Formats: sequence, structure tokens, C-alpha cells
Amino acid sequence: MLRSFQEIIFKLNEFWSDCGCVILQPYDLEVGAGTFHPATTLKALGKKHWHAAYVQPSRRPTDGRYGENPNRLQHFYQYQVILKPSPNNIQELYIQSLEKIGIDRTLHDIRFVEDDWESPTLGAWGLGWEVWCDGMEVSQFTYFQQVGGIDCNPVSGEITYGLERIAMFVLGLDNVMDLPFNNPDSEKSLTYGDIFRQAEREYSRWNFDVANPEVLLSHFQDYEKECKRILSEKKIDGHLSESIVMVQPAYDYCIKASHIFNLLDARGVVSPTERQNFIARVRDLAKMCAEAFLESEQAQQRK
Amino acid sequence: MPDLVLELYSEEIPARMQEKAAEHLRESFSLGLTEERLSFERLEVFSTPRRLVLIVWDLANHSDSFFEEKRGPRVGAPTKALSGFARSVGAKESELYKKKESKGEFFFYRLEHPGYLSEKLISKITLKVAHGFPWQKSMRWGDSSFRWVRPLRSILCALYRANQEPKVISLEINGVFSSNFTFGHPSMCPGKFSPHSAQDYISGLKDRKVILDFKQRKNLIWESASKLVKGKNARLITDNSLLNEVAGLVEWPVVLMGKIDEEFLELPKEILQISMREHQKFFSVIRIDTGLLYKFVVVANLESKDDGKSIIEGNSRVLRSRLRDAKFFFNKDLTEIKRKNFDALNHRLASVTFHNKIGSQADRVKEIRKISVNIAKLLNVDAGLCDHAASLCKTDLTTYMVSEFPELQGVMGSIYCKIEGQNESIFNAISDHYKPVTQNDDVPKEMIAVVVAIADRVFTLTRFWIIDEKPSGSKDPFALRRGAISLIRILLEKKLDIKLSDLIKQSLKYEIAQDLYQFFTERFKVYLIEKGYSHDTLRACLNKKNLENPYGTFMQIDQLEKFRKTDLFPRLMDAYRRPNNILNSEENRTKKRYELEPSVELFDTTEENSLMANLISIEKSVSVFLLKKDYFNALQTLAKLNDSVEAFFENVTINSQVQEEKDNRLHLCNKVRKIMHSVANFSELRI
Repeated sequence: MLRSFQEIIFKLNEFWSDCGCVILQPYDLEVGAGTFHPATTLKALGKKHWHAAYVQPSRRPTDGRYGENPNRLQHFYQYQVILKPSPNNIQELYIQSLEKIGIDRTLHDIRFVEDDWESPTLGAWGLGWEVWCDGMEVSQFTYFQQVGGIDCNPVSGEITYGLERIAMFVLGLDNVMDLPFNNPDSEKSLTYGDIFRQAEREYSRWNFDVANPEVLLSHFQDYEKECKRILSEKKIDGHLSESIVMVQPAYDYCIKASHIFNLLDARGVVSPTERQNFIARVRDLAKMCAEAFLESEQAQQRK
Repeated sequence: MPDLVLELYSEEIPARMQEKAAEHLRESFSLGLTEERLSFERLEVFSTPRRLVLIVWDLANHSDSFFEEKRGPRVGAPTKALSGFARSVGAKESELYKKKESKGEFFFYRLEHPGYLSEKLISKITLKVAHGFPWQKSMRWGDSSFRWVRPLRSILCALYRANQEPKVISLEINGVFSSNFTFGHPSMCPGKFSPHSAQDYISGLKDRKVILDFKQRKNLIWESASKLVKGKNARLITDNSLLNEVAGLVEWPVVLMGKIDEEFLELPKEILQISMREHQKFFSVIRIDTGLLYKFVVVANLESKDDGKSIIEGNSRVLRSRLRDAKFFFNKDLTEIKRKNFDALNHRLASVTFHNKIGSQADRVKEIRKISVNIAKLLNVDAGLCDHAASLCKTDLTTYMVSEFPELQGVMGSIYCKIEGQNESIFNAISDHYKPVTQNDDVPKEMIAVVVAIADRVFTLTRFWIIDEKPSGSKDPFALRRGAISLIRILLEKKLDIKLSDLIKQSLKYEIAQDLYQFFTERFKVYLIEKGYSHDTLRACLNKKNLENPYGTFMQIDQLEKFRKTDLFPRLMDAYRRPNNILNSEENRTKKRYELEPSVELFDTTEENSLMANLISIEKSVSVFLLKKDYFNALQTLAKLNDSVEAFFENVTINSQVQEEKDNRLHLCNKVRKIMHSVANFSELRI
């Protein structure tokens, strides 16, 4: 019987590690979802096989509720698994992973309900389901069809667990802040709220009312410019006299631009038409990065 | 003879696609069987979230043999050509025979095609059907380029003969090889199962917690749910489209009931019902004595070890958190409305874009108000009330509730207006002007709602036509087709006798307006054909023109369709055909029209005189019926022409030696046709 948030993460790591995945660490930039990690977005492209799992802290500034809503946070954790190509038994593996964290399929009603995933900012989409466990959405399950506007071939299977939700389900709690983060019987026990409530309050206030729109906007423009500049550099490196396409640095700026857009959105300074415009601008960056990635991957294979 | 079972086993197929897919499987497979001359007794299809199934009962072992007549060289051609042909069809020259055709005399051979083994043909048909399956949305997975709705994991394809081992029909789709096994319910009976007959496939799956038949699952769900509330002072809210969806989400429905927490019972019923339905696919249960919505029914796909205790608990918890959110935002809205007024929220609409080329929601509301007032005057409805309702119809788009729960648009506005003590027709109009949303949805009841509903659609359609964002092919992002159908349905079902051109009064350019009318005409046709009206009745009534008055034309179509089933219809057609045929051929020959009023002085038979007299009286009564849109009586009256038309043609020779007399008789025929055409163009009709 699992008793804490972190144990769930340990178990998932153990499970997917046993399945042959590399267990990565979170990406060190602010992202809106685990999909943004280059280990998913970029690795889903090209021919190379790739199996990875990791926790990704994710930020959605508009979802901030000052730590007062039992289910909603502007900063939360996703557990992300990417299997490329998607194996034939991927659904079964997923259900086994649920069993590993204490969700018994003969006791709980696990259902795959149509939900096609799309990320307009990444130019990515796929078909799949949201997975329901006794009516609660616990995961998103997607077969990537396109990323950055490019067809995925082979197709990756992506599983995203909403860790807080799953933990609340498994531990039988109604409020995320009450989740025991570590062993609840230890003298040093802490809840999720002990660790994050104050941060939620601070970020909610900043996201909604205090963030400086002018500064954010100029950051957005700078990041956009920098992303394009990096990709437009000539391919040959001055020191090594070899081709080095700088996809990942460029992609970092795409991620940063995306997060800045989310902040502007939460700040309430983006009109609906501008919104579409911002999304299209980030998508353009993502597309350029995707194309550059394919180029660099091919270059590596030729070597 | 053997039975065939084909099961395409995949990961979960979206509920909304299952039935259509099963129907396609039925159609494409029976077509394939017919094309391959394979006879069978009966064909059934089934669908579950994981399976698409076809069972063909009593399938022939072989396809029927048939002969094909092969044409060889012309008679008299070099002998080499003849021997070459004989060789190519595998025959001796002596077996060829001669036959004359329009192009000359040729050698022929009757080539016999023997029957082929059904195994071969089934595999061929299956591959063809699978590779051309028209999924609304399909995908690739793994390394494959094959597309299916979700990954295809297993194929059972086998012929079952009594007292024999099943014969697997070998085929391969995307690396999946056919077999004679399947799987039971994924959580309860996940093991392999090899049936020994088609019947055993069905009953064996039932033993393994899979009900193949969609209708059976549907009935079972409704019956079990009804049983749960029976004798408990409670009533289930019927919801057929939810029932259909839920039956497509489970292979083994287990129906459970849970309670809604006390603290949420005070929320308006609509909020409870809609959030439960949209987000959790729960049915709602009402307490009969208090009228409160107090319980929910959930359909699980599992007979769990604890009899559903955990499942109900889990579902209740999700509901609780959702309703807690709803309650929070509802109270937030209420505070705001109490401080100001509901209509004070309207100013926020200016900052919400409707469409960047059309304007904001405030612009939209302004226009809907104008159009509503126009339509109200046209329909004799209180224009002031319509204007008021229109002014509030989109206000709720700025509330917290609708931002959080978009599916509550209209409903929230209505609730807030009700709380504020607005007139009932106003708050009903706010919720009902979105109707009909779906095919099964009713049109709005009250006239104020009807007016705003029409105005909203007129606004949307005309604006999108002006900026040239029309639906094309499968693309209709703003659901304009549905909007046009809704508008047509409202006009027909509310019996509104008005012209489209009166609704669309704005300054549309001529071409744009014509294009929009043509769009309406197309939608109108599609709608009525789906309702079962015949193509030729529609053609006779629309007469190649654009639709002007949907209700009027519908009355005409409906009554003509009914009239066609009466004994009088052939009489009317007789009375129409003879004058019409003669006119057509004369008009063709002489290139003249015969549209003058016949002159009585030129008549020299009693038949001419009595036909004319009859025409004059019928012309009068028909025009009176047409004014009253009583097409049925108009048609009956036309049929009365039959006797005098028949007598005329029996006893009068049109081809008189005197040109004037002949022309006059043709004028008389034309008068018959003209009166007929004032009701419908009968030349379009088949008998």
C-alpha cells in the first residue's frame, strides 16, 4: 500500500525502468506540460527508437487559485512516458503501471474515452484517449501523428499521468494540499500543501496582477528573435569545422517564448485575436526547430 | 454450409464511430459477397468498444460459376489471329462460334469461370474492406503506414462447419495475422478464447463478459437503471443520446447509483444535470416529491470484487470536486449580479471577439437585436420583448460559470435572469435560442425564443457569407450547415410562412444573396431527403429554382407526396401528360410557344367548349386553394380535369387543316399545362 506522493513517483520510475526506459530528470526550463521536454517533442521526430520516462514540473499560470482550490494548481507534476515506436502491448503496460501504484483493475473501472490531443503551439497532434479511473481522468494516452507539423514515423506512444490527481485517487484524498509528500508516519512528514501552498499564493498573485506585461512582451520578442537567429546561423562550427545545427538551444528559446505567452495570457492582456497570433508565432518556432532536428539527425546518421 | 466470423479487435474505438463503422462493414461486405457471387443466408454486424464484428450465416463453399462471352477476331481474319485467340482462352478452334454484331461478324468463345473457394474470396474481400475503411479520423501506430481508427491488435477470421475444426482464413493486415481466437472482457476475462462455432463465438463471449449487440447493451442499461430507482420515490431523466454514448463505452454494462452531496442540492438543476452529463456521462435522478436532482446513475464496465463500492466512491469524489468548482463560480457570478445587474455585464462583451473579420460579441448582439426586431414585426410578435431578450442572449458568455463550463451557455443566462426576476419569456428565450443544437433536439417553444433563434442564425450565416468563409467539403468550422438546417427546422416546425428574402433583409450583394439562397436550397433538400421525401417530388416543387419560402414549399412537397399515394394521382398525371407531350413536340417542331388565351369563337366541338369551361372554374378554385397553401385540395381539383381532357383527346383532332384552329387547340392544351404548373412541375414526377 502506497502512502505518499513521492512513493508513487518511485514506483512509476521502477516500473518504466524495468520496461527498458531511460529515466530522465525534469527539463530545466518552465514548460506547460511534459510534452515540451525535448525528450518528447524532438525525440518523437525522426527514425531513431527512443524509450524514456520522467517527471516534469509543469506550469499553467491561468490555473493558479492561490492554493485554495482542492484540485487546481498553477504548478504541478506530470509523469511522462514516451515509447517510440509504440509497442503492441502499450495499453497493457500502462494498466500494469497503474497496478504497480495500487490501482487494481478488478476493483476499479478503467476506461479509455476518446480524446484527441492537440498542441497548437507545438504544431503537434495525435489520436488517443483520456483514461478514466472510476470517472476520474488520470492520464492522457496519445499516439503522436505529427509534431512541429511533421509526420511522426515511427509513431510514438505518449502516456502522461497527472501525478497529483492519481495520488489523490490512490491515497483517497479530496484536497491536493493534504497529500502526504513523504512518509506520513515519519517525524519529518510533510504534505503537498506544506511544500507548495505558499508558492501557489505567490505565483497566483504575480501571474494575475503583478507580472509586468511590457517586460514580458519584450522578452517574448527577444526569445522569438533569438530562436530564429540561432537556426539561421551557418551550419559549420568555427572551431571544429564540422556541421553543428544548434537545435536544442533554439528549441529552448521556443519553450521560453511559449511560457512567456502563457504568462501574458494569465495576466489578461491578450485579446482573442492576438491570442491566435501568439500561438501561430510559437508554432512557427516549433516547426523550424522540428525541421532543424530532422536535418541534424540525418546528419548524424550519415556519419 | 459454413458460417463466417470476422472480428477486427482493436484498442478502444470512439463511441460515436462504432455504429457507423458496423454499418459500413455490413454494406461493404455484402457488396463484396455479391460481386464475388458468394451466396449466403444472413449477415449480421456488431460493435463494442474493442470489436467490429461480422457474422455471415450459411455462406456458400464456392462462388457461383458463370460464363463470359469473349470476342475474338473478325471472321475472315488471318488464321494466325484465330489460333492465337483460341490459345488465349484455352479452347480448340472448333469450339469457337460466329456471331454477327453491328460492327460485323466475329468469332466468340463461351469461357466458363468456375466457382472459387470462399476462403480465397473472403480474404480478398476482407483486405479490400479493411484497406478502404472510411473512418472519420484514423491514425498510424508503431512502424506502420496502415491506418485504422485505433491500433488494430488481433483478427479472428474463420469459417465454422458443424462437427469440424474451425478453418482459419489466412490473411494479414499490418503485421497482424488472422487466427481463430479472440479475447474476453479486458479486465474480467482477459484470456484467449477459441470458439468452435459462430453461435459459440457469441455465447462464449457473453460468458466472458462481452455483450456484442449494441441494442442489447442499451436495453440492459436502461432496464437496470430503471430497476435501481424503482419504488424509491425517484425518477430517471431520459436521455437517449447519452444512453447511446454510454452503450458504446462498455462491453459489459454494470449500472450503479450514487448520491449527490447535500451541499450541492441547492444548485440549479440544470447545472447539476449538464455537468454530470457532459463531463461524467452520468444519468440524473430526480426525487419525485421535492423535484430535486439528488442522485446519479453511472454505467461502469466492470463487475468489481466489492460490488461497485469503490467505483461509486471514486465517481462521487470526482463529482464533488466538479460541483465544488461550479458552486464557487456560481456564487461569484451571483455576487456580481447582485451588486450590479445581469445586463450590466454586457459591457464586457465588447472585449470578447466573435470573429476577427466580423467583430466582437457586442457587435454581434447589436445586430441580433436589429434583426430580431425586424422579424418580430414580420411575425407579429412583441418587438420590445424580442429586443430585450436579444440584448441579453449572449451576456452569460462573460460569466465565470460559462468561462469554466462552456456547455452551460444560454442555461446560465437564463438562470441569472430568472433569479433577477425577469419575465419568463425572456429567460426562456436566453436558454432556448440556441435550440435546436442537435438533430434530436426540439426547436424553441415560445415565439420570443423563436425570433431570437432565427435572428442569431440569420446574423451568423449572412456575416460569414459576406466575409466569404463558407463551408467547403468536409470543412465547416463554424457549423454553418447545422445553422442553416436549424433555421429551416424552426421555420417548418413553427409553421412560419415567411420568405427567406424577408429574413435576410440586409444589404447583401445580389450574387452573395443568391449564393446563400442556393446554400439554403441544398440544405433544405438534404434535410427532406433524410426525412424520406422522394427526390422527384422535391424537383417538381422546387422546379430548379432557389427556395423562397421554406414553409410554403415544404407544405407543397408534403402534400404532393401524400397525394401521390392516392388513386387520384394517376388520373392527374394522365390529364397532364397528353397535353404536355403534344405541346412539347409541337413547340420543338415549330419553335413557337402557345401561350395565348384560347379563343372561344374558334371552338367547333362540345369537348373544346366543356374543357374550356372546366378550366375556367378549376383555375379559380385552384388559385383559392393555393392562397391558403391547401395544395392537397388544389391537386384533387386538378385531377378533376381528367374526364374533360380525355374526352377532348378522344374526340378532337388537334391537327386541323385550319392553322388557326390548330393553334387555338394548342393554346387550350397550354392552358391545361399552365394551371397544372401553378401547383407543381409534374413533368418531373415518375408514376
